[in-house]
Formats: sequence, C-alpha cells, structure tokens
Amino acid sequence: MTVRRITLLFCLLLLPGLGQQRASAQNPSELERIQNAMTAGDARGVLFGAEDRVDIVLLGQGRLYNRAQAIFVMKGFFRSYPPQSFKIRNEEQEAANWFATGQYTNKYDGRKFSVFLRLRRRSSNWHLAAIRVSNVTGR
Amino acid sequence: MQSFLSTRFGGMAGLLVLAIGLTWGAQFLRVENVKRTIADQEDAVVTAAFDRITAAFTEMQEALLEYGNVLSVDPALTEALGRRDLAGEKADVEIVRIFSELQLPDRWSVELYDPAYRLVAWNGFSLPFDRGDIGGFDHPKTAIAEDADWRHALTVWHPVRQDGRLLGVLRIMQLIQARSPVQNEFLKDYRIDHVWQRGIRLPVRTQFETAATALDSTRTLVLTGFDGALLGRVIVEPPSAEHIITLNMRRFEDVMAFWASLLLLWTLAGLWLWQRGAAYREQARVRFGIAAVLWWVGRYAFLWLDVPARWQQGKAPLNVLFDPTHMASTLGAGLMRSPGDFLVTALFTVLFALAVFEFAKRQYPVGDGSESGLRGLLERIAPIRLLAGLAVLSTFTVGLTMLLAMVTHHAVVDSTLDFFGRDPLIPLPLILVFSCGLILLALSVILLIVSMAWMVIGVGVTHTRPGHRLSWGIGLAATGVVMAPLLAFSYFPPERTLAAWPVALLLLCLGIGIAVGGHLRPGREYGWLTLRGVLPAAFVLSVLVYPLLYEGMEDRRRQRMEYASTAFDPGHDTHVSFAVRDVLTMASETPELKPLLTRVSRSQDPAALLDFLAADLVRNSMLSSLAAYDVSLVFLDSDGVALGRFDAEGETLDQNSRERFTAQSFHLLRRMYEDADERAVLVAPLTGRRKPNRIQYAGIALIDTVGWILASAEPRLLLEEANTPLLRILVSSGNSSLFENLSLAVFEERLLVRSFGRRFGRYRLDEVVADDLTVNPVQWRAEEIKGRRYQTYYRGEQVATAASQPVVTGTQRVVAVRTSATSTFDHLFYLLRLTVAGLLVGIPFYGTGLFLRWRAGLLPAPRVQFRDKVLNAFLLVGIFAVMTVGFAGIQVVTEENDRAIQSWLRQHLQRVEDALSLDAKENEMTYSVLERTRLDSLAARTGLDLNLYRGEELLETSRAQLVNERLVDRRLPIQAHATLNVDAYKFAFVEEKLGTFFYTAGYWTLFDEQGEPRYVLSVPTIPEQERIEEERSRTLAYLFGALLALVLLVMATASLLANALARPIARLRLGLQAVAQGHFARPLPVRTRDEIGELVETFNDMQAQLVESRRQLTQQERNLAWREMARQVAHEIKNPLTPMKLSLQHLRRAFTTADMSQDEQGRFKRLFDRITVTLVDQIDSLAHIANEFAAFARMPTGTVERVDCNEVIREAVSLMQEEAAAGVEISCNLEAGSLVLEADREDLRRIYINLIKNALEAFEEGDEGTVTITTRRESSDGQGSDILHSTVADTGRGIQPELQENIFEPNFSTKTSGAGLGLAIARRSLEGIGGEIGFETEPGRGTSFWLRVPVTE
Repeated sequence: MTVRRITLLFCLLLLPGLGQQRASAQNPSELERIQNAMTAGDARGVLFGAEDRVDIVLLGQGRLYNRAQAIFVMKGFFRSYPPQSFKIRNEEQEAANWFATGQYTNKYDGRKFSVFLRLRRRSSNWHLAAIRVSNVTGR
Repeated sequence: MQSFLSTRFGGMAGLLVLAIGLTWGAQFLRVENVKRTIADQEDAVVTAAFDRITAAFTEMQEALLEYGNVLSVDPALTEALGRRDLAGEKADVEIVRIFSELQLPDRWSVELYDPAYRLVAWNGFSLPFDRGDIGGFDHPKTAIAEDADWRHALTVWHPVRQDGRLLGVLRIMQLIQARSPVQNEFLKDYRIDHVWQRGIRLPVRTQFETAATALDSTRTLVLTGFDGALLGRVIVEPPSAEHIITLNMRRFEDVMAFWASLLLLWTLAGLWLWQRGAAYREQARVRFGIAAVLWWVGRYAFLWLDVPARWQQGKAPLNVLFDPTHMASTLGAGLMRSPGDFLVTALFTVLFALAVFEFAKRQYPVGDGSESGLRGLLERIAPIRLLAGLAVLSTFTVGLTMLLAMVTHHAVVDSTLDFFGRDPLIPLPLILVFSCGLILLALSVILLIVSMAWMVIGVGVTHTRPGHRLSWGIGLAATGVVMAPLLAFSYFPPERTLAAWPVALLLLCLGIGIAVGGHLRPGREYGWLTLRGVLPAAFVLSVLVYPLLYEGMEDRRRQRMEYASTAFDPGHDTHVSFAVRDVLTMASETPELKPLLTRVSRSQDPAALLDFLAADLVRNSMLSSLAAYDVSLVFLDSDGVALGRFDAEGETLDQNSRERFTAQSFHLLRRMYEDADERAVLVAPLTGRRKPNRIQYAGIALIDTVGWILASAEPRLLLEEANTPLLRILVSSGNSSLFENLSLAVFEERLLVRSFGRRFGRYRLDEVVADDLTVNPVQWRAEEIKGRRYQTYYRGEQVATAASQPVVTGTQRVVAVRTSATSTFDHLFYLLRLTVAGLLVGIPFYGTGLFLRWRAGLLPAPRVQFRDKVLNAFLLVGIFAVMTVGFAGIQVVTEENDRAIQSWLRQHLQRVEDALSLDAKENEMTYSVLERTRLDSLAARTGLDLNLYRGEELLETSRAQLVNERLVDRRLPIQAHATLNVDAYKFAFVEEKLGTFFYTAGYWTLFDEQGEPRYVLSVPTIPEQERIEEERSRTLAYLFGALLALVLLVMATASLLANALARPIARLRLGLQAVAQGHFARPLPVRTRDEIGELVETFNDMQAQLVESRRQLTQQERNLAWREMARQVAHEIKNPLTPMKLSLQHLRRAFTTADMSQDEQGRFKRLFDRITVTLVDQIDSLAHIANEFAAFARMPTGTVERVDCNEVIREAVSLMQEEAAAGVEISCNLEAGSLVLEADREDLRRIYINLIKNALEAFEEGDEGTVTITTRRESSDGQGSDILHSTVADTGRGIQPELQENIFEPNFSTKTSGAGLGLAIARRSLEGIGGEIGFETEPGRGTSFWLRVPVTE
C-alpha cells in the first residue's frame, strides 16, 4: 500500500514537469520537416527540437521566447493566419548556421508573408533558433 | 439537513448535466441544419458583414460631417473669413490661431481653403487632392484622398458660408489606410479593413479605386458617400463550409463549457460543505485530503475546458490576458500558459490556502487565546513532538519557498513582459495582473506556513502534560531543527533560487510569529482585514516577492545579454552574408527590374521608381532586420553609375561620400566577380570603407547586360563618427528588440572595432578586463564609469588569423554587452510598483473584512481607540503628503524635462545657424548661405537631423527616407506656423509623433534682409528621444523610490508615535477602570515627562485621595451600620421586654397577696405557669433574635467540607415534616446518586430549613398543597464545573409584587415573628460557596426558590 502511495505521489510530482521535457530527436532534413510543419500549421512540429530560446518576430511583434511560449505564439499565428502553403525560397547552410527564407500564404485571403528561418547547429544537430514573419509589401 | 443538502446538490448538478446534454443536442441539430443550408449560411454571414461594414462606414462619414457642420458655423471662423477681403493677413492670423487650437481625434486632419482653393489654415497631416474632383459644389460631399499607395483618407468637403456667400471650404479627413515602411512597436500598418475584419471575423479587402471593375456582386459591397459618390469597394471573403460549421460548433461548445464550468463550481462548493460536515477528526482529515486533491483536479478541468480563455478570444480587452505571447510556461502543465491563466491559478491557490487555513484552525485549536502568549505555550510543550514538528515546519517552509521561487522564476523567464521597464508608477495592466498573481501566491504560502505552524503547535503543545518547561537545551535544539533545512538550503541552493533563502527565513519567522502570536485566531482575523492590516500586509508581501522577481528578471536579462553577444559577434554574423545574398537573389529574380533599369538608364522613367523598388526589396528581405548594420541596395547601369538606391544610412552621409563609397565597392566587387568567373551572386566580406579594420558584407549580381545590383551591410560604429545615430524607430522588430536597452561592442586586439549603443565610450578595452579575460573568458562585471553604474558581460575568444582573407582579424576578440545597473532607487521604485499590485489585491480582502465586521456587529465601531485614531490620522496625512509630493514631482520633472528639451533644441538650432554664419561671406545672411549649402552636408557637419521649410512647405530634409515614406509630413505643423509666422517668434517647439513614438521638434526662423521669415529650420529629437525618455524615467524612478522610503518612514513614525501617545493613555484608562471596579491599591507608574505624565501624577493623587475618602466613608458607614444594628437590636429586644415586665409585675402582685385561698392558690398556680411560659417564650425569642443577628454578622464561620446536598435535603425535610400542617405535603424529587458540594453542612441545612419553613408558611391554615424540593446536575460542557440546580417550590399564596424587590433584604419579613434575616443569610451563605439564589413566583399560584451551586466532583 505504501509503495503504491509513493508511486502515485511520484507520478503526481512528475506531472508538472512533463511539459518541460526537451525534445531531442533529430531529423537529418530538419528544414524540410519545419517546412512541412509550417505548411500543416503545426506549431508544436515547427518548434520540435528548437533551441531553449527562440527569436520570433511575427508581423513586427517579436521577442526572444522560451520554447514553450514559442509554441503558444506560433499556435496563435496559425490560428489567425491558417496556412495555405509554405515554400522555402532560398537557403544557405554553413558550419554552425542554416538560413532559409520562404513565402507563407494565408488560407483565408491568399495574403503572403515573408518568412525567415535560422537554425543553429549544436553537437551535430540542428535546432531552430529564429523565425521571422513579415508582411510582403509591394507597389 | 444533510439529506436536504444532498437532494438540493444532486438536483442542481442534474440540471446542469441536463443543460449540457440539451446544448449538445441543440448543437447537433444546428450543425445538421447548417450543413443542409450551407449556401444560405454563407450568404447570411456575408450579408451580416455588409451590414456591419455599412454601419461603420456611415458612422465615420457622419462624424466627419458633424465636425464640418459645427466648424463651418463657428462664429469666430466665419467672422474672420468674412473679413478676409478687407483685413487680408490679419484675418488669417485669427484663423490660424483657431486652427492651431483644434483638438482632433487620432488620424484626423482638417484644412481650410479659400474659394479659390488656396490653403488658409490646417491642422494635421496633408494629402494631395485633385481640384477637379472637388470644384463646384453647394453641399458637403465625400471623397477618398489618396497619397500614392501610402495613405488613403475618407474626406468630407464642407462649404463655409455666410449669408449665402461662399467664404471657404473645409476639408476634413480621416485616415483609413496607412502603410508603414517598417513594422515595430511604434510603427504599424493601419487599414480600416483590418479593423472591420476583427469585428466580423472574416477576411475583408478594400479597394478605393473609383474605376468600375467587374467584381462578384454577392461578395462585394460598394462604398458610397452620403452624397452618393462612389468611394470604393469592400470584398468580403465568405468562410468555407467547414469554417462555418466549425464556428457554429464552437458557439455551442462555448455554451456547453459554461454549463460544465457551473457544474464544476457547484461540485467544488459541494466538496467544501462535504468536508466541513465530517463527524469526527479522523474523518475530517480524510475528507479534507480528498477535497484538496479534487480541488486541483477541478483546476485542471477548467484548463481542459479552456475556461475562461475560450470566451475571450478575439475580444478586447480581456483577450490580451489570455494571449500566450505575453507569457506562457509549461510549468504546471498549463497552469501558467498565459497571464490570465496564471492569475486564475493564483486565485485557486489562495482559495486552497484559505481552506487549509480554516481546516488547521478548526482541527488544531491552540486554545481560547487567553494563554496564547509564548509563555503560556511553553508551559505545556511536549519536547520531542514539538522538535519533530518544527523540523517538518522548517522543511515545509523551505520547500514552499523553493516552489514559489521556481514559479516566479518561470513566470518571469517565460514571459516577455518588462517588469522593470520605465513605465509609469501604475504598471501596465498585464504587469499588474502578473504582479497580483505573484502577491496572491506569496499570500498563499504565508497562509500555508501559518496553518502548518498551527498544526505543529497543536501537536507539540498539549493540554494534558503540564509541567514541561522549555529549558535552554530544548530551545537550542528547537533552533537547530528549524535552522537545519534553511542552512542546507543556503549552502546547497537549487539553481536560480539563491534569493529564496532570505525569503524562506522571513516566511518562517512570519509564519511562526503569526501562529504563536495568535493574531489570526478566531475573532482576531478581522484585525488583518482593516486598512491598518491590509496596508502593511501588501507591503510585506511585496517585499517577499520582490527578490524572487528580481532574480528572475536578472536571469532573463543575463540570458538576453548572452544571446545578444552571440548575435553581435562578427564570428557569428554569417546571417549577414546570407541576408545580402538573399536580397541580391530576390532582386535578380524580380521580373520588373530589368525593364525598369533599362528605361531609367534611357531616362524614359524617373529614377525614383528604382528607389522605391530598392526600398521594397530591402524591406521584404531579412536585410531590414539587421539593426546594427547600415544596409544599402543600389542599382547601377553597366558602367557602374548608380541609377536607383535604397540606403538605410543614406541620410547620415552626404551625397558625394555616398557615391564615392558606392563606386569603390562596385569596382572592387566587380573585379572579384569577374575573377571568380561566376554568373550568379557574389558576396564577400570587405574591409570597411570608412575604417580599414571594419568588416562589411557586400555582394554583387549582374542583370544580363543591363546593369548591376550592389548590396552591402556594414556594422555601425557610433563612437568615432559625428553622424546622426541610428533611428531605432525605423528598424523592424527583431534584432532591435533583442538589443533594446543594450550597448554592444567588439574589441579586437583590445581596440574597439564595432559598437552599438552609447554606453561604450572608450576605444580601448580596459587593461584589467582584458587580462582577466585571458584567465576567465567569460566575465560579468559591475562597473562604474563616470558616475554611472553598469553591468557588463564580456566574452573573450581567440580567433585564428586568416591572412589570405581580405579581412583584418586579430588573435583576441572580445564581445561586450553593457546595460545600466539597477540602482537603489530603481529597486525602491520597482518595489513601489509591486506594492501597488499588493494594494490592488488588498482591496477585495478589505471589502470582505468590511462585510465580516459588519456582520459581526463590529461596524459601525461603537468605540474607536485613541491609538487607532492617531495612527489613521498619521497615515492619512502621510499618504496625502506623499501623493501631493508625487504629483508635484511629476509635474516638476515633466516641466523640467520639457524645458531641457527646448533648451537642447534651441542650442542645436543656434549651432546650425552659427555653422552657417561661419561660411557666410561679408554681409551675407545665413539664409543665403543655406541656399548654397547642401542640407545633408550641413546635417552631417552638425550631427543633427535637419528639415528645411519655406512657408508651410518642406523644401529639403536630411532624412529623406522619413519624408518619402510618409513618416514626416511635408507641411509645417500649424502650431509651429502659428508661433513663428503669426506670433513672430524666432523659435518654436512642437510635440509630434511617428506612429506611437512621441518626440519634440524645434523650429527656427532664418530671416531675410527685410527681417521677414525666409526659411524655417527644424530639428527633431527623434534620435535623442530614447535617451531623453530614459533620463526622465530615471528621475521619476528616483523620485518615487524616495517617496516609497518616505511612505515607510511615515508609517513607522506613525506607528511609533501612536504607540507612544496611546500607551500612557491606555494605562490611564486601565487605571480608571480599576478604580471603577473598586481597586484602588496600585498607583500608575509615571514614565513620561510630558503632559500625560502630569496627568498620570494627578490621577495618582486623585486615586490616593479616593482611597482616603473611601476609608473614611467605610468608617462612617460602619458606624452607621453599628448604630442601625444597635437600634434594631434595641427594638427587637424591647418588644419582648414589655410582656416580660408586665408578666413579672402581675406575678409580683399575685405573690404579694400570698394569703391565698385554695382557689386563689389554684389561680396563682395557673398564672404562674402561664407567665413563666410566656417569659420562657420571650426569652427564647430574644435568644433567637440574638442568634440570627449573630449569624448574619458572623459570615462565614462554618467549616467547609464535602457535603452531599441530597443527604442534607433529606435531613431538612425530615425535620420539617412535623411542621407541615395537615393537607400540606412535602415531597422530594432528587437527582440520583450524590451531589457533592464544598459547603458548611449546617449552613446548607439551615438554608433548606428556612426555604421549607417559608414554603410551609405560604399556606393559610387549612389549605392543601405541596412543597416540592428538587435537585439536578447541569453539565458545564467543558466550561468549568457542573452545577447543582435545586428548587424549593410551593403551591401557596405566592409573593405580592411589591414585596418581591426586598425579599432578600435583611430585616425584611412579612411575619410578625422573626428578624427577617433567613433569606438574606441564605443568599450570603450561597455566595460564600460560589452559588446563587433566586425565585419565581406567581401570586395565588405559588413560589419556587432556586439555587445554583458548583458541584465539587
């Protein structure tokens, strides 16, 4: 009985920390995975395996968010502007950084956004470090 | 009752479940219906959207029209316009004054034209108009004013007439679309369709072209003016079928969530009642444990339901509360996923803590409060249990504090709220909400610790083990077990919880202090819910929370500084080369570039088109987010001649320098491009064009044979150049927010090679720092430079020299990030703001206290203590004084700030004119020098942004970008125009704004030879505004920090002074109360030398006099009593003496006639017998009287012993049975067993005999009746001894009302015999053994005497 109680207590203590577990899985084509997640409007997928703190700027509003907060922030963006498509336009990979720019199209009105992604390499794994979404302006 | 509650609870719960089910059913039916009629639904949604848009657009027009209606009939305006033909400019002066004083709503502008459409006066922004569109109207009309595609405004033209004559035309405009070149916290796009879109939640697009285009009429709404003019179209995109169904489902889900929330609340309330209804202690504990767990299950259920966040989405103003962009943490699995949820969790926590508090109070009562002092508790401790309990308490406190620290840390680090920003004293709403949450959590922790302390005291202090006194050994052991967890915590602190150690210590002291002090015991809680309780509590809670909050903020700041150092490090700025490559790729892939370049090179199109294209390309690329770089994009022809460009730094360089640098870069890159033999994009790091050791990233791309694209990004160095600084307002969010309030620098070989911000004033790295970095490459240093304190992060690294590259690198590179350190006044200011949140939390508690005190009958207070009055008066005066000083301080700081800004602007404008004067030829006016000087060159020389006006028109600017992008208007502000050109001042300053960024601009007139204004030079404070605001905020922080110290001082002084004043008065009051109760013995000690001391001395004198008077009075009373007693005794004794004397005289006469016959002898014999009997009776009577007086006088003389009252009653009844007349029955109804009293057996028997005798005498002769004696034991319910309740009741004639009052008085009797002392003696005897006596009577029905005496067992 005591053992069961302790087990139950242990499980309860673990409960608050569940959400903090860090994703460590890696995919070799990380940028492709992020592109797919962006296309699907999957905030958790976009931020999967991201850095602890991610620099996010959405339409002029942005900060350095922790990963959990970044998920909520991206969820809000996808809710407001559900994706129709997202295409990587340009990318460049270096030893420690992987940059990409792309175009995101809103499902509702076809509005286009310019997206910049930055991934950082840590111990041979790539982690998303920055997302910047801005309006495409033009004459 | 229980079953009734259960029934009611179950009934309500059932109803709610039914409501959920019904709503679900309704949802199902609705969705099915929607699916069947989806096309109609789409139309209905669009129609509803059209209605709302039409209403909103009409309202806008009506507002503009109404303004025009009012202004056009303004008497002053029409009168001035009417005089214009005669008075000319003099009339215009009056009109300009009227317009300069107009208060317009945001995004509004008003212009006044004369009948020839010449501008007379204005207020607000300017937009071009086509005169052909507006001419010849008699009534107000509407139009859309357009400024390229930058801005659109809804316009109402309104004629101003007088007596039918057209005097002028008003043009009232409201911006409905404004494009911002960048998006950041100050500048954002504004579109009326976005506003409408938020309201109707459908995609909306507006088109303001008036040309007829073929559009789907079912999706397009034509916008017309009130005059029927076609103004534009609105296209509403109907939602998809899936979206409509989702929206409908969502609506019903919201209702179901509402019912479910009510059910949850109802269940939680039921749980509360259920756990309170436990029959015994063990059951109560089990029930409380279950209820506690279910309480938190309830909280998670609310999270699962997404309540209340789900009802706020998209709706202002509460939706911001549940916006995770402000704060979101995974700690607690969603408990802190937004600021609103954090607040709800804090409310749940505080309610939980209050429940625990109530449970502890109920289950572990520490006593009735009379022995609540430490001494009382120490008398009754059980040492082992107490020590164990203290150890648990200490560990519990440490654990809770760590939890609080962890929650605070996560809440801070996982949020983007700037808790320590330079905001006003009242924090921003979200920060206030967050601070309130923290305060509530701290309050919960205190309540839990107090509850735990009670439990410890309840376990460790017993009621049944007296005699244990706390020895020194136990005291030391107690200290040890309390301190052990704290010391362990301090030596091995978990990460980021160092500040929690003193907080834990303080919490422990508070918890034990409150628990032991008994301040929260029953009946005393209200003291904490008064103003004097809430105010200090708010402050103490703020003090507790502040270190934890500060630690979190400090951690966040350090993280940001580290991150910024990485982003700024040249070794990590590969994103810059990517950004350059990206913009070059974008540009080369832009189809319209090649033909445009061709046409411009042939002068077929204006070069400005290329400038605009360049600006668009840069802004849509990541180049625009490089805050610390000067970026440029240039289009050149095949010979390298620049045809169009965008230069973010262009305004800071003069034209010649810019062209020279472009040519240098182009030729170098072109050579590299040709050498590389590439046909794509080339990007390379180059040495700086202005400084040889500065790296710039530049790239080039070829556009077939037409021309070239050149892009560059060069790090900005502020220190060595006199150019105007970066305008952060023109930088898109991103790196600018990352570097906000930070200064960054890169040193190579100890020399500054790159910097951002103004806090690095030295071009050489400090030697001590450099040496330290060789030992420890990461340094956090608190530095003081020229009287200012900073916190600086240094990170050093060794970089390899790459001689083959065209970059200059050193062996040691140091990246430094610096920010202002937090001063003591800053701490006080932030603490004050936290206290504001604490006070906000205190308001509901104070309100609850008011209600509880009113319910308990304490309000309105029947009596107010003097101390309270003094304290309240001091507090009121203190708060009023602080508020006055604060208000005055803000005014002074603001005015001084404005004055300083004006002075700054005046000096700088004077400097510009001085600079012009230096270049002037003999007798040449400065305006003339200006006409032959390039403004950007002048701006670069003076280090200022400059605008030049002629009349009201902007001629030239050194920040062309601001004007081109419509951030600065091309027209002189009306206020400056009124001051300079109308009031003829040389200098004017005007408050202006860019988006939401406020700044001040100074205007300076240059005169011509005739002394008339020729030009107006303008300098804005935009580059300096950040520094100015920081200075102002710092000054205010100092002011309010000092005010907080003053508040604390006032409160402490008030408390001390109130105590000092009230204590002697309280002592005096106690003395008076003692005197009132007859205690004269103790004089009050005199401890003060003031008037109160004199008062106490006077009181003591009076008390001494009273003692003497009382002694004399007692003596006098005693004498009188003796006299009365003598009189009574004499009276009583005299009565029997007369019959005795007569009897004796009669006997004597009989005896003197001794020669008696036989008959006489017989008669004498009978006489003798009768007389002697009478004499004996009278002597007995005298003896009885003497005995009674003796008994009354002697109290108490008996021997107190344990006496069984029932036994005594039986004896008395036995004795009195014979006295009972025939027909009167004496009966007993006595408690079974014995009833033992501590009393004198004889006295007790006499009492009962007297009472039975009185009862028997209550019957007339021949009457029938009963005398009943009863006894019974009354339980005391644990409040002292049990009580004997006894009655002696008769059914006799009763006692007449007029006699009842004196029944217990001595010498009162209704009988002819006896002294009337029986009942008086009975009462005195009973009082002597702690008892009491009384009676109930009803004339004609009988009397019942009752006795109540404590039972001894």
